[in-house]
Amino acid sequence: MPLDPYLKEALVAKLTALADDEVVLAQRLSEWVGHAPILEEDIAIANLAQDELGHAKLYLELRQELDGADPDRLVFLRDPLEYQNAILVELPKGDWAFTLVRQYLFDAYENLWLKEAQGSAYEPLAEAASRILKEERFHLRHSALWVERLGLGTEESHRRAQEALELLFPYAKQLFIPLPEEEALAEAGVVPDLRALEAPYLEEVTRHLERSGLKPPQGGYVPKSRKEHTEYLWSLLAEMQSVARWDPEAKAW
Amino acid sequence: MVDRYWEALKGVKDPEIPVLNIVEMGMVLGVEAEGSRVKVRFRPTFSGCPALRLIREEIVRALKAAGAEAVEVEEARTPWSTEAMAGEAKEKLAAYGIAPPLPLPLAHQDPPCPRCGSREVVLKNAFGATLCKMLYQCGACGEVFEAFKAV
Repeated sequence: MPLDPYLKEALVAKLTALADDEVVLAQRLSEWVGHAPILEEDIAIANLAQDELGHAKLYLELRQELDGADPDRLVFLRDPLEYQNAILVELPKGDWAFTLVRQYLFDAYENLWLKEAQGSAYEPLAEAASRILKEERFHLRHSALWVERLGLGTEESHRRAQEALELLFPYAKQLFIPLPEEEALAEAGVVPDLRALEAPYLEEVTRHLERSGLKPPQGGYVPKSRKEHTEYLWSLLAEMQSVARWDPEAKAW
Repeated sequence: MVDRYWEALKGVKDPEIPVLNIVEMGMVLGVEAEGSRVKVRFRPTFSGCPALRLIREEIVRALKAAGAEAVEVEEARTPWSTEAMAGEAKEKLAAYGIAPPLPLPLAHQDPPCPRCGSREVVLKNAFGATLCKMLYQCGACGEVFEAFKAV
């Protein structure tokens, strides 16, 4: 399907935002490698991080087909203010409960989005979505189980999970705020209508959280735009990009 | 000529599961040859697989050794599925000690132990040493084994 120029531009922005969520979340997850509470989880979290990076690569290759931008340069040489990730994924990793509650809130959103995106009128995106969904199902099963385990576990695990949820829940709602140009894409059937996904999402996660003894908070600040960031993104990118920035023209590592 | 290139590709192993080659894994979607120019379409198993770069290099090396002068490797986005694995490949996996992927409709079940065949197995970790595997332990013989994820 040849895209109208205005749709192409909007899709470039959307693919970048999708990839940025994955890249930043992968970096936060990888901070646990060597530090997770048990060996199995150390391995699992490294797998999650690696998968998310693979998904970012898929989105950025779709973008490359549209505007020729080099995926590596986008990830490693872009400044924080140009990153389009949601705040949810950039917040510091916190404790184990914080990491897994965040992962659950993100995975549930991603699974819903991908299921819809498989039907995209833009065939390359439909293909990428069905590929990514196969892998994301494992993520959701894993993080949903952890939420249950923490919520219903000990008094301390419950307290920590509830505290994490209080902080994270409003940020998860940002995932359903479309980009400025996204409406046209949704109308053309290129991407799912995010606003229509919010109600099923809230219903699904609320049901699971409550079953796990946790209570989603009311209200809270929901960031309005993906241009908003916290100071934490700066230090995250500074670390992640440091090697590439030492020698931006390097041909091989 | 194309047959010869297909044969050559059978020499390219998946570096994370060295008993399987990329053809029987169902990773090669097509081979086209025009004179000594060869184009291969292949699809990765898992999108974040760190072995991809190596596999691409191995493809080029194998085809050049088989007489190709120019090789183009195109990475397709077509989702890969364990359903694309040849039956023979699944047998090789089991013999290697990895429980082969179950058919997709049975994917929610636990695989039998590749050592003793028992169904009394316990999932230890849904994630393993590589993206494509999970970790199980057999309750009957005690064997700790890896199982290929059915996707």
